[in-house]
Amino acid sequence: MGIINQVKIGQAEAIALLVTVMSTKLFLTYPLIIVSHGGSAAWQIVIISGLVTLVFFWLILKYIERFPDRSFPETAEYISGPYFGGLLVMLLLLPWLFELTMTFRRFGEMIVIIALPETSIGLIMLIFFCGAGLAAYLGLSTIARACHLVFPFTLGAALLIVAFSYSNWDTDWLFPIFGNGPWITIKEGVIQSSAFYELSFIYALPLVFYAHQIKKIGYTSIIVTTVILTTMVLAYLLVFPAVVGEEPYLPLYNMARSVYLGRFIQRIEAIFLLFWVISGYLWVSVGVYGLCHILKDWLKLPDHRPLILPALIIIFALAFIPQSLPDAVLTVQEYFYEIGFIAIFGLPPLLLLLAVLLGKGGKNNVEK
Amino acid sequence: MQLKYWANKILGYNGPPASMDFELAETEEEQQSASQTGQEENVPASKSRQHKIRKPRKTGPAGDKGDAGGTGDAANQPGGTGAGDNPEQSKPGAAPQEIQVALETNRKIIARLFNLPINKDVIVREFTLSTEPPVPAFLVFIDGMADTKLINNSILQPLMLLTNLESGQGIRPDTCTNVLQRHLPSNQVEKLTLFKDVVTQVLSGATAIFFDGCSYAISAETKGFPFRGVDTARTEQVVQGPQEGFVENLRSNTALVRRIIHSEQLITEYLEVGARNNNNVAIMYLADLTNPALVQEVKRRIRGIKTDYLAESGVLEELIEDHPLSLMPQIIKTERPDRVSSMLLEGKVAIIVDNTPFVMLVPGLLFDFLHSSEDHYVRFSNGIWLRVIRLFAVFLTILLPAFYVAIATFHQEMIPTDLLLSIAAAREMVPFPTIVEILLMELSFELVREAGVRVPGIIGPTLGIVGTLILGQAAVAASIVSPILIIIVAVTGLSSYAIPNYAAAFGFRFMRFVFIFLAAALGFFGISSGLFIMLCLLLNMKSFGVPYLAPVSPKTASSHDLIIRFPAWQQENRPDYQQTLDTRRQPELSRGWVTRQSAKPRGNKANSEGD
Amino acid sequence: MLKNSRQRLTAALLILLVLLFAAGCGSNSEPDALSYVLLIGIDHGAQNLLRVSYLIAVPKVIAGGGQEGAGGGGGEGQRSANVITIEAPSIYASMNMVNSFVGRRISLMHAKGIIFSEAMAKDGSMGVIVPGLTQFRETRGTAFIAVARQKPEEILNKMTPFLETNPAKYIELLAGNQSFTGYIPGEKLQDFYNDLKIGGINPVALLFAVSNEKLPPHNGQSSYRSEGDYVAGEMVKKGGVSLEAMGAAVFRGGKMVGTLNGDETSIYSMFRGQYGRRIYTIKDPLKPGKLVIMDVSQTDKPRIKVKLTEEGPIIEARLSLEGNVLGVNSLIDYSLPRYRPVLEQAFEELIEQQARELVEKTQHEYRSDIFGFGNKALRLVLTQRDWEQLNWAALYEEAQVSVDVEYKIRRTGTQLRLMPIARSNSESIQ
Repeated sequence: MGIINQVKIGQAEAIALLVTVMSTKLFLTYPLIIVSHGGSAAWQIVIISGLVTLVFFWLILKYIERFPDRSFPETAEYISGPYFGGLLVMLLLLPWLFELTMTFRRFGEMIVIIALPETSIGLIMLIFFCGAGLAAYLGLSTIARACHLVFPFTLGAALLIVAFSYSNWDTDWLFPIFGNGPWITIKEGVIQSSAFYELSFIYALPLVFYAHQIKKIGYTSIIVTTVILTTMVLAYLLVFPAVVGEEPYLPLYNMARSVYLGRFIQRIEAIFLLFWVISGYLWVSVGVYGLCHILKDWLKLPDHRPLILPALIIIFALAFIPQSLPDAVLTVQEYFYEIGFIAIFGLPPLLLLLAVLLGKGGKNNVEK
Repeated sequence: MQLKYWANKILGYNGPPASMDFELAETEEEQQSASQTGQEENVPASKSRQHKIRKPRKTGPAGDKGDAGGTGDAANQPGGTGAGDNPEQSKPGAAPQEIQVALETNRKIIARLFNLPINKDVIVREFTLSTEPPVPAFLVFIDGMADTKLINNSILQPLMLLTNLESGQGIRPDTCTNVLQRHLPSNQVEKLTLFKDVVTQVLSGATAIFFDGCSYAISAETKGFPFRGVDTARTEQVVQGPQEGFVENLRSNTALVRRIIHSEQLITEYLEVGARNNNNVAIMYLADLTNPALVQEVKRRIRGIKTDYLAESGVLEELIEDHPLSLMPQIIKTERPDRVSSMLLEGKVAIIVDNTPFVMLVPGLLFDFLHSSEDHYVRFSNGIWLRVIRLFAVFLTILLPAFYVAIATFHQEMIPTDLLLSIAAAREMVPFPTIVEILLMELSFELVREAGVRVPGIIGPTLGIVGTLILGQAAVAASIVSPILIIIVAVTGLSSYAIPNYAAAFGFRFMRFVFIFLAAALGFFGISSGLFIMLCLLLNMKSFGVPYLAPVSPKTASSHDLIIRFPAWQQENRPDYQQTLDTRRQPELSRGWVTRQSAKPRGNKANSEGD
Repeated sequence: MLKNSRQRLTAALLILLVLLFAAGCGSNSEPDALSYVLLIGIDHGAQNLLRVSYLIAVPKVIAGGGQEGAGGGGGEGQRSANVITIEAPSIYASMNMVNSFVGRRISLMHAKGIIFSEAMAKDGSMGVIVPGLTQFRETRGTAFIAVARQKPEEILNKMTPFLETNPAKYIELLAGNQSFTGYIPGEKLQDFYNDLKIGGINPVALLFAVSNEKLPPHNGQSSYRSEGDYVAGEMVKKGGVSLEAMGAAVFRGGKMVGTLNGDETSIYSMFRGQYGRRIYTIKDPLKPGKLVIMDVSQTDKPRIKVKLTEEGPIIEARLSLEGNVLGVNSLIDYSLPRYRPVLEQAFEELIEQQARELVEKTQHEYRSDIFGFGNKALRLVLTQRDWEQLNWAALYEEAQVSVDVEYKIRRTGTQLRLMPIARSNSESIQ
């Protein structure tokens, strides 16, 4: 297709990008959701869901290897015809849009709670919208480089919270060891693998990566993310007992609030806001970019940029549908996290299955 | 595309820049391994480049004058500078373009070209060659631009007195050649056939000699205009290291660089910019080092400029830089020859504009602006400390006032209680909100700075100190600002002067105001939004095909000279992003004496497989 | 077109700026437009539900009386902090109500402590209010939480530190003294809340009281009484600040069920691993009637093991302490290997006995596991459901607790040896 030459991002940047977007949810409700499901065994849920995601990724990899040179909409339409293929693309896009909208909203709420309690959320989200839109406009290589550049700092800030809260640690909170019961832990571990759903970026936009690096990018980023998430959830559990840990909207914020390093250094949570906001921006810009890019591939447009503004306006409008913060959180928790992983991780295996059944792709594709 | 337009206008983002098609690209392999430092494979592109060494109308040694003159002309034709060169007096139809055989005609044309009876600077001296028979001749030069003693001794004297030793047979077609070869002891002479070349030469200080019966003129190099001698660098001072700086004279500047780099591969090319005033622009680079694509791009950009006059290198900078609307400079301007030479050895290209003591170096990347040549002259531990301090200064310059505003008005819980209460107490009598207070002080600081530059002579620095101290003290005493704010503003001001590059310091200082506003409106959220947008814009910038944050993002192989300056013997590679033809500065084992068996001679720096 | 759009752009920028400022101004406030509450006192109201007292800092006095007037150090007439008491249905409502007569907006972001009246603590209202306090954005989880034996507003009124001009510093330092006095628990608001919520432990709070500032007349009948054998309000002292922070209030669930004196609080801290160091004055084991003074600190975290048996849980606690002998009245050289174990053992027995008594008291009198033995018992169960079925609160009362104290004297002050008085008749030790 006569498209502006495809932007590619290198391995380190790709890993930084994926890890950033997958672990940004830490700053939002993720630890809360995990702890509310797993109790004192929440950290096991994270590990299990990481392992489950690795399995999913193995399937995704098989799919990508079969269709190395095609974008997702192309593959979907190639395998299952334009109509069913279109349906599949919608199946990818709608959860993406949904999560984007909700996260957008939750970031807005986060800023209202942490920093600007009396500012209208509309304004905050408008500014968010401008920043993220600009980044999406500048393109993926800029975003990926920003991720690569910012990642050490965000990670450092998160680890700093862990280190600072050391004096509040109590290993007792990790018991009972099986939390709400091993079965619940395993079940939730599988379900909560939808927390890794940003991994769908890999198969939705396979062409932005160098094909032979995808394997390493995927596995590394899943493992790194699992380690980060586990560390943070573990630290959170060490500071707050599971019963209390289920309560706050922003667990890491509460952790940062509880830091007391003497009379001079306390209540330093606002400093961490700097890093959280920047990773929020990165998350949203990656989401918007991905959304527009898939749409571009689907509609066979030459450039994604004209789609950004309309997409942002739609997201902006949708983000205000939930009436309140608990709505925005609980909706996500109930609908998205419960079924999201099927919709998102189910697509590549489905396509793979269809392709095998119909005998498309694979070797004959390569020969061609 | 409204977004693009707005982003363009508001944020200095210049769209996908016009130079998007030019990229000093890494190989695909290198891009893939964006973080792996092991890769030292370089673009082996066109090892067999042909560098046309072009000099404007100046012959080398007298032996090959004919050829040299020819190439000089040829070089100028494709440059496009010839068009419209003639002063408006020379109406194309009225006067012939080429030098005539008849001396009198030439004299008239010259008189017309230079507005002779009116223009008192141009001197026409008529004389006669003492040959047999005598040949009438005249010479043209501009009083003040040419060295009269030189003309007397090495042009008029030999031509008028010494030519009679030869027994000539009248005017022959080779009179000029003869004269040129045997009677003109001037070191740079050139044959000219066009009047516009004569004009250019004469205007730049040469003396043109016309002979009767000759269809060309001879220009002899007699530049003798006054210029400032080499002096200490004014804007980039160092404690340890060379002190001299560039001057206004182009030739002296190239000589200053050449004096440091003794390499036959150091090329100086001349280009001319400006329709009305042919500004000489020199490009210097090391032929065996600098990526030819970069040199081509520099030349392409300079040749593509259509303007009438370059006042200073800053004007040229604006004309050739990638993102003119950005707050950050993308071209290094320096007045230190040592810095230029070390940059040339990194694979950068120097652009020297005549009449400017500031040399430009491209590509200019963010970290180049935070480096000073002194970092390398002091011991390496001190060098690291200098850089860390400077990086810290950058953050303070951009963020300190904004942080103060954000914390004091949005996040009071962060301030230790004692401090908060004393801030609140200090503000007890202050009538303004914090933002007004800080803007007031910042603006007066800027005022003091600007006035300190403008105030003549010795009062300048005094004014700075007096202005800040007294103003601050009085403002506090009058309860217009709180004392803590004076500290903030003073520290910010100090930090901004710790940034070695003037343009970069200016950019950062301006950004500070943006961040103050953001902080005043939205607290830390505003600051982090600003940081994010700044980061994205910086990441998107390129300077002559190199990403602006190059060694950091995209990460390239380390040259061990970024924030931490490694000891000299560990800086083995040149910056990877420059895509130099020779990547190594020195072999792995650069200190041969540390091993016993270092008997065999080591390769010099040009030898890429040193070990 | 270009001119036109440039104007449009300028207009858009201006609108954006105005918008930013108009909207941003909601959340920001100048530091001198807020009044900073340093302490909150909460009591039952006489007419409304709550009587809330605020200790509000007066910045200009704290910063040294400003440039003019008041002379040196704060000025006599002006207090560096003022107390405001108001009755309101809730704490947050009371903040707004205070702002009907205080110009600057009340802010709790620098509240260093929260003091409840004993009545509120005892009837359980404190347990109801605390969760609401942690939910609020401004309050600090690191504020201390205390119970006052008198009216909280009286305590707040007595907060007139004589060393510090800034009461906040005084308050924070006072609560921080826990690390070297051991008389008060190191319980912060967030700890109190955590302990309130979970089943394995019950919260405690600091105990505050107004001191009576009377020195009884000498009658020649003074006798040894341990320095920790006081509860706030009982100490014999005069001068300084008429306040005492000593001992702890014990809670069962959200209700206060009793108090601990200073000694007991030290033991409590040892069990929780929060004990820093304190001075112990004990009777000389070899010469009753004489005293040994030691600086005792905790070396390791306490090792507490819980076992479940048919008869109930068995709790084994092991406390490791180390000490520094500061003074010996009896002139016995406890640096000698011969005598040192005697002193160590005597102290171990003393602490063990105090610990046993305290545990006994919490088991049967207070019926409240303040030591967090239940948290250790979490390790015995596998799942949350098992834990809920265990009903630790009931089990704790039947638990057999054995305390094992290990005490080592590490050094003897600045002296290596303590020589006898070199006089005739004085007993030669070597």
